[in-house]
Amino acid sequence: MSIRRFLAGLTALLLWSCFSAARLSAAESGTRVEAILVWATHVAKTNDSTLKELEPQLTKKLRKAYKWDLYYEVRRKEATVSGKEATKIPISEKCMLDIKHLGDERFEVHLTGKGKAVSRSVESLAHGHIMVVAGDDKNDTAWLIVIRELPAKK
Amino acid sequence: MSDKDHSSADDRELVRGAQKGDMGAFEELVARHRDKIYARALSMIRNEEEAVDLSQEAWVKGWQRLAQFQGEASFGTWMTRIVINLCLDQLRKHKRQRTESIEAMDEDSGGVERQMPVVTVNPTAGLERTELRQRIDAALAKLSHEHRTVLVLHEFEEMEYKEIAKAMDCSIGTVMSRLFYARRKMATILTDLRKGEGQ
Amino acid sequence: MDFDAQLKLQAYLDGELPEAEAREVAKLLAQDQEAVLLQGELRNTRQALKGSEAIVQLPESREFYWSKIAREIERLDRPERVEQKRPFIFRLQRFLVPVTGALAVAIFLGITLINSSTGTTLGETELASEDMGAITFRSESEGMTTVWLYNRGDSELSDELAPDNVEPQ
Repeated sequence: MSIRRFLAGLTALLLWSCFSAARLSAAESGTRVEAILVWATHVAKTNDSTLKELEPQLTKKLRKAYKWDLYYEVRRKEATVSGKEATKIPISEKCMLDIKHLGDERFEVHLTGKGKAVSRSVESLAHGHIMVVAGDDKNDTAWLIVIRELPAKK
Repeated sequence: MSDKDHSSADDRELVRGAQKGDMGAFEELVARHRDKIYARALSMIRNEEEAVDLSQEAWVKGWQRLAQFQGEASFGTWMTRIVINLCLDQLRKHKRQRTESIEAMDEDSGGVERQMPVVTVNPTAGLERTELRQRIDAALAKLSHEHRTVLVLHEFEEMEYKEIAKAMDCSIGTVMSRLFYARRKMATILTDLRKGEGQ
Repeated sequence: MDFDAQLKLQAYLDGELPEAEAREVAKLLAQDQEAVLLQGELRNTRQALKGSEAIVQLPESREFYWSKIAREIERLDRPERVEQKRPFIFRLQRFLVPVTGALAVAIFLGITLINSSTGTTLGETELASEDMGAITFRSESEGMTTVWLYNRGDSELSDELAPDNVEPQ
C-alpha cells in the first residue's frame, strides 16, 4: 500500500476516534429531553382549566398515528439526562420515568407504575424522532407519554 | 416494484417477488390475507389478542418458509395451515395448564353424547345468513377447545379425518368421536338458542 | 345402535367410509329409524355450519399490523448482517496494529465502550411482568415510535398503570 493511502486512512481514523470521543462525552455530560403526559379522547373538555390543548404540531403527528382527534397536555417535564446514571422524571403521582442517554442520541427509558417496574425500551430520538409510551384508559380514552430530545440551550 | 405494481399483481407474482426478498410484495400478501388468517386463529383460540399475536407469528413463519411454497395449494390455504399449526401448539400449551373437566373426560370416552336425545327439528331452518353466523359462533364458543378445533378443521377447512388426526396429533378414532360429540353438542346448543328466543 | 355404528354413520355422511362399509351403513339406514333420525340431525348440523363461519376483520390498521411483522423479520435476519460487518473492523485492526498499535487499540476500545454500554437493539421493549404485553410500532416517515402497553388479562390497561386520574373528575 502507498504512503499516501496509509496517511489518508490514518487521518480518517483520527477523525473517527475524535468523533467517537465527542459522542461519548456528549452522552456523559447531559442532553435535554422533555416528557409530556398527554390524554387522548374523542370528547372535548372545554370546561376543564387544568387541561390545555396539546401544541398543534404534536397533535397533528399523534392524530396521524392514533384514532383520537383530541389531545390534551396534562403535564410537561424537562430534564437533563446523561450516560452516567438514569435521570428520574416523575410524570405523574403514580408513574416515574427513568431515562438514560446511551450515546448516539439513543435513550433507555424505564417506566415504573406505583413503584413497580413496567417496561424498558431503547429508542433513538435523533432528528426529531419521538417516542410514545402509551396505554388505554377508561371510557375509550388513552394516556400517552411523549418523550423527545430538546435542542441544546445556547 | 412500486406500491402500485404490488396492488395490481396477483398472488403468484407477489409470492415470486417475496421469494426473491421483496418485502413490499410480502406486505401486499399480508394485507390481502390478514383478515382470513386472523379469523382462523380467532376461531380456534377465541381470544382477540392471542389471535393477533399468533397470526403475526404465522406471517413471520410464512416469510421464513417462502422457499418451500411451491404453489401446490393457494397461498391463502398455505398460510392458513401455518396459523392452524401455531394455534394447535398454543392450545396444547393451554391444555397442559388447564385441568380437565369431567365433561371433557367423558366426551373422549364416548359417554356424554349417547345421552343426548336426537334433535329431529332443524334448529337453524329459516334463519337469515347473518343470524345463522351469529348463532353458529355463539354455539362454537360453548364447546371445549378440542371439540371446536375438530369442527373448525373439518367443517370450515374441509380437512379429512386423517389430516385432522395428523394436525392434532391424535388417532383417527379420536377425531371421529370428537367430531361426533361436537356435532351433537352443536345441535343441542342451537336448539336451546332457538328455544331461548321463543321460536 | 352402538357407538361404533353411530361413528360409521357419521363417516358415511362425510364420505370417509370404504365402499364395503358404506354399503352396510346404507342398508342400516334403509331399515333402522333411529339411524335415519340421527343421520338427519348430523346432516342438519353440517349444513348449518357450511359457509356460516363468522366474518371478522382484524382490529388493527394495515401499517400497525405490518410493522410488528416487519420488525420481527428484520430482527431474525439481523444476526447475519452484524456478522458481515465485523470482518472489516478486524481487517482494519490487523492493518493498523503493526504501524500505530496504540491508536488502533484506543479506537477499538472506544467502539467497544459504546456498544457495551448499550448492548441493546433499537425499538426493543422488555416488560417486567408476564401479565403485561406491548406492541411496538416504529415509523421512520412519521418520526415516531409507539410502545403500546396492555394488560394481558384484560383488553384494557389496569388502573394501576394509567398515570394519575388522567381523565379529569
